[in-house]
Amino acid sequence: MPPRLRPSGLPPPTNVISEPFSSSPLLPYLLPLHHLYITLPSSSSSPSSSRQFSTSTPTPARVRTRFEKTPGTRNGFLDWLKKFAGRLNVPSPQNNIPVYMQYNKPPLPLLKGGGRPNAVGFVKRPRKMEPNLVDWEQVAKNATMSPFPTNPTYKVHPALSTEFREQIYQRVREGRSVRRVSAEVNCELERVAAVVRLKEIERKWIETNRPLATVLQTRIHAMMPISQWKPGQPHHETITDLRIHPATNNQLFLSVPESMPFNRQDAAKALGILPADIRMPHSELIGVEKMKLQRVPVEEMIAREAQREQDEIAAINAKREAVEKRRNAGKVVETERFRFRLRPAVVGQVGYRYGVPAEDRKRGINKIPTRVD
Amino acid sequence: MARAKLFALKRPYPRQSWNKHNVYNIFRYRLPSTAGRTFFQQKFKAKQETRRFHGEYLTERKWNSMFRHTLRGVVRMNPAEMAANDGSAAVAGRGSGVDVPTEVRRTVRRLHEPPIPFAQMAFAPLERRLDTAVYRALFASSIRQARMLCVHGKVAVNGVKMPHAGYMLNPGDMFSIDPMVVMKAIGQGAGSKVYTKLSDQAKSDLITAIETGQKERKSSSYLKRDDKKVLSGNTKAEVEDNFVKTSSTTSNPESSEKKEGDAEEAVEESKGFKLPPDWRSYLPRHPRWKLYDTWQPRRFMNLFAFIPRYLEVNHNICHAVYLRHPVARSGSAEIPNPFNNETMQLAYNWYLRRR
Repeated sequence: MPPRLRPSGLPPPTNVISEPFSSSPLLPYLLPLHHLYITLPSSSSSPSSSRQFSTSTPTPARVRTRFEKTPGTRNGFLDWLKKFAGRLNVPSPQNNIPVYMQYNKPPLPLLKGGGRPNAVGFVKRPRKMEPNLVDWEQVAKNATMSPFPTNPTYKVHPALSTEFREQIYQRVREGRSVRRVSAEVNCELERVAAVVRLKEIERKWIETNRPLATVLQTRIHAMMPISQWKPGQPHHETITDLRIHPATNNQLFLSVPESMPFNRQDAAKALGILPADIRMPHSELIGVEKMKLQRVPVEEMIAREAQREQDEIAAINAKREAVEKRRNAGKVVETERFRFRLRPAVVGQVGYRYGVPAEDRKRGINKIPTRVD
Repeated sequence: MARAKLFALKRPYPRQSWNKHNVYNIFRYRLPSTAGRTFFQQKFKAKQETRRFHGEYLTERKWNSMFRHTLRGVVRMNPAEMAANDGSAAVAGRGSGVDVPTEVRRTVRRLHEPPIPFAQMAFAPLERRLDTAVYRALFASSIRQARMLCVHGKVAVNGVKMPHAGYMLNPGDMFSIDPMVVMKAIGQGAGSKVYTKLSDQAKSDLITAIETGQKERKSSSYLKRDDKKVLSGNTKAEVEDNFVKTSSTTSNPESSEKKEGDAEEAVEESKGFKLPPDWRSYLPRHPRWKLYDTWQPRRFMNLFAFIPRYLEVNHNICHAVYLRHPVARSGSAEIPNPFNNETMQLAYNWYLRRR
């Protein structure tokens, strides 16, 4: 079996992170917060970036031909219908536009010269739609983003490209915290952590010469929108999405003096929840913005951020140590194979008691585990 | 799981599958009309239609026990704005803010932020199921197939085999399948096209081989043997070669048409002989790793190739992580769904009653 992967084929870790980015670790905090204001334009997928593991020649991926219009054949459906279900009654297309397009809620996009602009400048849509006026490329593009013709609300979010994942992984391996990497590359906290987990497994597979399914990855990525890595301003998604607390769904009547300010903290107290400034992921960005408003010098900002990060790490470590300490509180008996941690327990409250009938075969008792550690 | 008529062409319903009939059905599907129906009828119809798509393999009782009236949503926060003001301006005066008239604010808000489609989240609890997640991660070509993979013990959660398709994933759970299994599940089969491309000599050899194989099949160890010496060297090489070639050139429409023409001739030629569907099992085993070079995605996969935001998938190793529960955000929901907000709202209302 030929080895499908050579570890030497991977980009060296020093080259992965661009120089200006690694020079100032706090740069993302000082940059304008582009993840808030810029909506990501759909990136043109270049297959070259997702092929860094592959050694085979690229096969032409099957393109989305869903809305490609073939006059007379109804997008090829008639062809295969003849083969597979010859007697079916297909609704006939009108104006040579595929039928399923007609109940698309948003009107079909027009070409630049499609409609005549009126005196005010608005483009008037022609009453009778003709296929040569429709911007079919735009239609296909729209279809890539919302795959169900009957539900325009569902929009596909692009997936991370292979290079994007590699960049995230290398940053975390350099020792940066997940939180900071997440803010740097504009990617949710959980996603960054997951990417690192998956990449670790991938690395193990490469080390043990287990073949990766690179073909699968490449072909699948060629079919769907991908957010490519942009060295200057990487962006995948918004990172400050605040989960709507169920307590805020109900109305709450509260008499407040008109002369007193009533801010977010007060509202949170009234609802009995934490304020949004704390609940929001990446709440530290608020602090950075405050420093910006106060015109704190850059060095000071960096120092404060570094201090905050250190404090955070210290707090996490302290918590972890406390847990570890609690876990190791009892007697420890070390044998050749096992380390038994003995904890005081009360008979009857823990463990399996002999003589008590098991209920796991009873009707209505759920046998599916609820968690796997 | 009752075997329903899933892809009826007479009365089409969308299903969660990449089946070609389903593709056609999704394209010509019309949402249920509410005209001339009572509210109860509207709700019932909406529930019927949506349940045919979401968890059709689950009984109504099972789904009812999973349904939750809480719908998850998120709001995008702007740290710069939160740093600049503490929110007191929004409730100043008599409780609705000062200076800006309410109507203006509403209009501005509507223009900037489309509403959160909460109704799209009605079937969100189903997305936690392991089989649904496997399908969403593009590891299977339909939910039923995903369920089969689970039940057959191909899926592991956090490295532990999980044979329960109904396992509810927790945020942070990682599930995985062998890439070989995934490639087989979402790839194109070679079919009988291999046979039609063989030379006459090879064909007759193959027929003899299959016939001997069928005779010898009664001895249970025959099929398991790797060194089945049923084919002479040339024919074996030809079969292997063709197997690889056909599965790598199927994307060419012209050649496939020709092949189908050949297939008919071939069937006419070998009168009386029918290629058994399990004909590959009579031949020496095909080296599995060849799949890595020749893999082709299943037909129409491109229409369904999208991964929702609550999953992070690595197809190189066929592992995926369930990041969090799906949420709705301004203008879009994370659950793939062919029904519009109105239909979903009706269905949600149906399940909301008695609660």
